[in-house]
Amino acid sequence: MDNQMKACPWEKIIDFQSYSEFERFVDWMDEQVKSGVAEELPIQKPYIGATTFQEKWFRHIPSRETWRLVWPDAPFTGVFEPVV
Amino acid sequence: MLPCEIEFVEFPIYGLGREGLVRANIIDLDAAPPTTKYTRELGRKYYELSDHLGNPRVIITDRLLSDVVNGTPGKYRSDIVSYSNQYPYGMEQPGRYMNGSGYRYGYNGMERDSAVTGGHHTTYFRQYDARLGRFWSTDPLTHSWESPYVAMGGNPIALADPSGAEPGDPEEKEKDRNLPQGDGGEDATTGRGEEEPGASGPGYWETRTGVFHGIRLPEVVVTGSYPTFLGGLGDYFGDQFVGAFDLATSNEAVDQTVRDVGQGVVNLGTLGAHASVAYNPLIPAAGRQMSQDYVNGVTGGVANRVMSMSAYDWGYRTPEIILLMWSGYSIGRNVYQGVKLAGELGELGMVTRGAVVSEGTGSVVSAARSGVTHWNPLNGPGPLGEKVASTFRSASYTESVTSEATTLYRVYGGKAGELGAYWTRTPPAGPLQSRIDNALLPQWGNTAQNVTKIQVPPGVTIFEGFAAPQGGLVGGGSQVFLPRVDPLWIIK
Repeated sequence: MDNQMKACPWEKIIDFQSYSEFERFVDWMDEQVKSGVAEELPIQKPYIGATTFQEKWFRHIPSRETWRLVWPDAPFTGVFEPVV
Repeated sequence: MLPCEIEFVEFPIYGLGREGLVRANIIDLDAAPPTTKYTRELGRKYYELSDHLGNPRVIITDRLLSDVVNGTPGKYRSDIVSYSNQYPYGMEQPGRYMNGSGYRYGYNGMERDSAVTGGHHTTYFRQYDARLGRFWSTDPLTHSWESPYVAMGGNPIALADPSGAEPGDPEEKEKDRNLPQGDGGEDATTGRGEEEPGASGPGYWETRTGVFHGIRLPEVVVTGSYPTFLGGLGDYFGDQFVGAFDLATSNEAVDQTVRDVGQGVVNLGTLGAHASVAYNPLIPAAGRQMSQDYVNGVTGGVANRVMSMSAYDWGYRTPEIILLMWSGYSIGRNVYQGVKLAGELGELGMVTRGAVVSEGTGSVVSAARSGVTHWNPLNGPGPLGEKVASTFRSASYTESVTSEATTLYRVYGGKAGELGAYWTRTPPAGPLQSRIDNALLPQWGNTAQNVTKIQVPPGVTIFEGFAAPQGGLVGGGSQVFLPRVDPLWIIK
């Protein structure tokens, strides 16, 4: 069973409420990487084609899903979503 | 379906600010106007007598009172319906106030909210309690040196904060309002438009009608009769409007309105703004003549009786496009959709950089819109996607390619970096102004204390609109989204 893909438990976030909340999420994601649940990937295609947003891509290793984390730049409030 | 009854209760009396109220109490709006002799009913108009902070201390009506002796009236006195003596933070002193009229406005001109408690007031941004001398919610623009609940900056004798955003000195604002124009004091007699758009405090231009809202940024100035403008073109151009006036109304009105619009267009001209003007087809001769004057004024770069200073500035400072047109609604729709105008609309022309390049062909419309794509909720969200599109007011923005070097600014500091996606065409007038205009909520950590200035070269795709309101900040400022920024573009 261990070699089967598992559903990704991550949930899409389209509205962080503040920069401090976003920073807490970044810390949580770092923990995910350190614990081996996730790994960082190179960015293949920037969010809406904009290189002006800071962005990181992560793979959720058990499910093999790729997600992007885009940093807030007010009034844009950041996003965490799967890469389609 | 139940009938909908609307009662027209009251409307404000405006001078340079709110001077009072008229209680109309018109219940049947559909009733035919009276055919009998006109009569005037006194006592429906309420005037504020305010102190230096805008506190309405005494309310009088338009009725004069007098003691009649032997059929002869004696000295007249005012009909005082309300008065109040207040503690510094606005709480009324017991036994030293009377509000027989139920007048709605109180401390600093805020609206009383008697539904909650005595001393409670509603402002644009938050609720104020005059008994506590504190706001009930936090300041949308916080400062490190004071509590976000502090009212009037702790100085209620000198400062007022009628909007709940930021206390200010009302007398200083009044002085600014009465300053003559910089070049020749053109508008000194009008008391309007004295502040440079974009450089004013948050209240002045914002308190004008929506017509002037976009004056800091925009692409299109369209004019026509006000009903046409508001009811028709507004639907299509939305926030890109910066002004409207009816050339067929009267010379005096036109002249004044053109001056007002010109205030913005002078600014817009340097931004490569488009400008257009429509006139009432019901009075073609007058409209045609005025439009011709307008063309002459622009192309010749000279002032004339209609255009005066504005025409000169429009021509001299090179607005990109001026359209002269009939029937604002139809043309606006066609302009928006990029459709060539039918010949019967006629009287269409374009002036660009001081030379008439097209007249009466209809081709200018497509020329005017070429290279610009409008995205809005009807056809959007476009290439920026829903989330970024929502950062523009009404989720509406334009996509275009710069045709010339374009100067943009970005405010940053704290959590926000020197380079990023969001820029503005308007030179920042300070952190407070930038936060309000660009709806930069404090929780996102952009202190807006620094400014980056860049010059975007021709050929770069930009997305432009107005900042959407967020969390009580009104936004409305110029907002340009750049998907790519080259550090070499920095010029300051």
